[in-house]
Amino acid sequence: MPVITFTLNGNPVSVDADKDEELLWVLRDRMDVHGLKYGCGMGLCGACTSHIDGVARRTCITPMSAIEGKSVTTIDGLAKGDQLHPVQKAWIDNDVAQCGYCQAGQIMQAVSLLNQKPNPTDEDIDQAMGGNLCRCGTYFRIRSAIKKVAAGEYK
Amino acid sequence: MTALETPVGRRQVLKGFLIAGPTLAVAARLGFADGASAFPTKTDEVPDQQDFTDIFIASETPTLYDLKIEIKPDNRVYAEGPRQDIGQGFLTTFAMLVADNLDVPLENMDVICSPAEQKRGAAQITGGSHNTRAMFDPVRVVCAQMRGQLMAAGSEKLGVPVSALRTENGHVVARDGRKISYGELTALAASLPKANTAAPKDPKDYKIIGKPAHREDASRIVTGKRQYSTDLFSSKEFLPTVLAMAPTHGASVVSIDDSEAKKIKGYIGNTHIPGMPDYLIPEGVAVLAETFGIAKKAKNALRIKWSAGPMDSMSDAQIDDMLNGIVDKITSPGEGLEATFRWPYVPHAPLEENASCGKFENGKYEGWGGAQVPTTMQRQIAETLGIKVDDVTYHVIPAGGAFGRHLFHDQDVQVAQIAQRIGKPIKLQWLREEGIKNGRCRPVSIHKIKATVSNKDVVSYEHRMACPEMDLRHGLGDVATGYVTEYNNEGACQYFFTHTQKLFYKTGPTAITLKQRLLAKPTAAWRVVYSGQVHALDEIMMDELARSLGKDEFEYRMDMLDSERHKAVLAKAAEAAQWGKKLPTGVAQGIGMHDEYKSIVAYVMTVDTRRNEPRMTECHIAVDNGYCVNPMGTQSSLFGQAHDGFALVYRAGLHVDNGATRESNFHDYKWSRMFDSAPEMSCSILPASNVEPGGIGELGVPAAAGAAANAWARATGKQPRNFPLNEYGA
Repeated sequence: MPVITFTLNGNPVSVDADKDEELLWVLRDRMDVHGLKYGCGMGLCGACTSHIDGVARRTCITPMSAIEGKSVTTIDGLAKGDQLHPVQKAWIDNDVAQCGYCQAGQIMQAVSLLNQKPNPTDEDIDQAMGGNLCRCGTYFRIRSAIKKVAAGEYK
Repeated sequence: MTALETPVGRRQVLKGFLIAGPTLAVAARLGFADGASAFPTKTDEVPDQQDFTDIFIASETPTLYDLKIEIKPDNRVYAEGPRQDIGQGFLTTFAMLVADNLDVPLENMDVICSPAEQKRGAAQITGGSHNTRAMFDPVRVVCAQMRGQLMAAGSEKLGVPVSALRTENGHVVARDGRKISYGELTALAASLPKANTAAPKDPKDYKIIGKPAHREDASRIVTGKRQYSTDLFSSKEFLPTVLAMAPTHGASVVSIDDSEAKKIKGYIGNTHIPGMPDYLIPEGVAVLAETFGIAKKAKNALRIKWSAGPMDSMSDAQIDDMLNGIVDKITSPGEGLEATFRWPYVPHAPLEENASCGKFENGKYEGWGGAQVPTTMQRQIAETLGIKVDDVTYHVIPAGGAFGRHLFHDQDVQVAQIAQRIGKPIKLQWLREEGIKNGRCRPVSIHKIKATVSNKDVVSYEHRMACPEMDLRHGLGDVATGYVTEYNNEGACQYFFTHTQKLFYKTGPTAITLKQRLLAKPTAAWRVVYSGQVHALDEIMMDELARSLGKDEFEYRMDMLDSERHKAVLAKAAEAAQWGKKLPTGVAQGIGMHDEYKSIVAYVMTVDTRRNEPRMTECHIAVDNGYCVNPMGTQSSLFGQAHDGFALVYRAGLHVDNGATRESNFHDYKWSRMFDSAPEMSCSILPASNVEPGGIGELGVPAAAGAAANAWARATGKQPRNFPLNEYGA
């Protein structure tokens, strides 16, 4: 198998994997990175969302061929050591999660949104977060948390 | 069990409690005294006297006081909760109950779900929204005993009588201010003879209970450290495995050809597993590979020949015909409002699709999964492996949602069968496609409803439901039939239905009845069982009655509600929503209420129907849940359930084509999304109306669904009859 080299959560890594293997399963099954989740396998639910070069992507439909030389950040690497990202702080403070299974993807999507639009409107939030399914229905608190981060409540 | 239907001895099963059944009240309540109208009136129904929460508590009480709570030398408190946390926040609530009653800081608590323990009998069940109520008094009593023991130890160490001691913040404290931590006393306390119990805490002294608390796992969730079942082990140790299951319900494997799969690098092999057909646990072909991604590709490359299934001749139309053939007839001859409704099959679709881990070594099995009734799983695993129950260890891992899906943990039986055949530890993950197509569902249902009206009063109310038989053999039946008779699923369904279904409006005598017939498509209890369909429709009927009588939907309910407790809840929600405020044409508010699990809730939802698909734009909720332990969790759950109600009314539903489920993933099985969700929501919790908590985990769904449908009716002038409305409401 080819060796694919990329940056994972800030560290250079290489992994033996076929180029058509999906990033989700390479991370989870070959590299024991478990923060990102499987929900649909078709890019429909967003549970696997992680950043590739800083932008939210569905890792369940991202082939390893697209990862060579790129920087991948999963929920496991979002905090800088003990210093949580403001979105993570907002999620705790607003008690967003219920079962929590979708929240890694929700948080990574929200971080990507706020990076691109620091002051998103409700329509921006609808559009950016619309691909992230939460079966528990935590949308109201997700929206509130995003708005509070935008308002600078969490540093 | 693969037969289309089984004869049901319903009369025999019901013999014991038909006397108390809802239909007999009709004759007793009809009639007029001195020429005056006896209406409107509310008939006393079975759940008004004894509901399923009462039955749960009564049957579980013998084991509920057996709790494992340990104080560690570092003053942390380890507690096992004999329930599952599936996102409803049980472990947080349990930690609050223990911390407050034990007088320790909440942050000192380490809580996990108890493993499967057969000694708990039928009591280790997470369902029926009764966890908090069930644990409330046992935790209070057990913690008082522990404080008594700690004070006895403190008395010895500090040299003062127990009467001069109190407990506070994880310490035993003397009047002179000297104090000693529980952690320093725990060994001595354990060695002393049993001391007198301290007085159980008076709820007015609670410092943690009743105050908002964040989820105990919140920081683990946001950092990706919260482990679900398949996160526990490396896939190098526990082999990634997916399942191919039958294309039509109840079909069996005839032959397997993996010659194409063998060409896929990383494919390990496959094995046929029988499932447990008697329990509608699907058979399948397990496909093992180095990663789940490869296993999925290999599964798609298998050539599996399947037999015909027992319902291959049935599509939605035939199922509807069957249901229309068995549903009870409307009996009232009078004038009134009459309507027929249909709900489709709805899968639970928790975001964590069915997954479990297991290993079978030296004749013993160890499993990790998110079962809601782990004791049933332990027994089924032992049965299928041919080993003793004592040789099955089952760890309960908090699951990524459930909504009833994990009452049956079909994948635990399957992973055990695979591990036994392969001889290696297995990590099983159902693919979403298998979950939607082959997983259990809320059954499709037909409802015939009539409110008979005389002199502008509702004088009787009939609600006749028919659905494919609901499978309650996950252990809920044990609770019911342990109380009544030997197990019979239809009997358990009737018993459950009778003890949950009621109307809280003054509709005169009611007859709410259920007819079922078994089909091969597997079913299960789905969040707020039966009421999710039945009572959501009753709320639509209340709106249509109001309008037919020329009354405002809120005012009419206030007239028709039977208790001040109900009226207070509705009034609060209406106030928060500014009921009746002016809205653009095509936008409207809708009301829905529900009363179950000793709690009452009202939703006022605003829906904008002017766009392609309707959207919830506001939602205001009020609840009286008796004694609220965690307002933060209560609000969270009820906000979430607004989206259940919305999705059920507008989006969600499966179709059956020739014995196969048509939908397969979230592109065609549609659920609420961020763009459906109201930017403005509120949840008012009314002051405590009771000394004990009511249930919350399912309560809101019928009310939210009723509110969603009623808003649509008021916005469009159309009558909601066939769901989901985005498909059938045109």
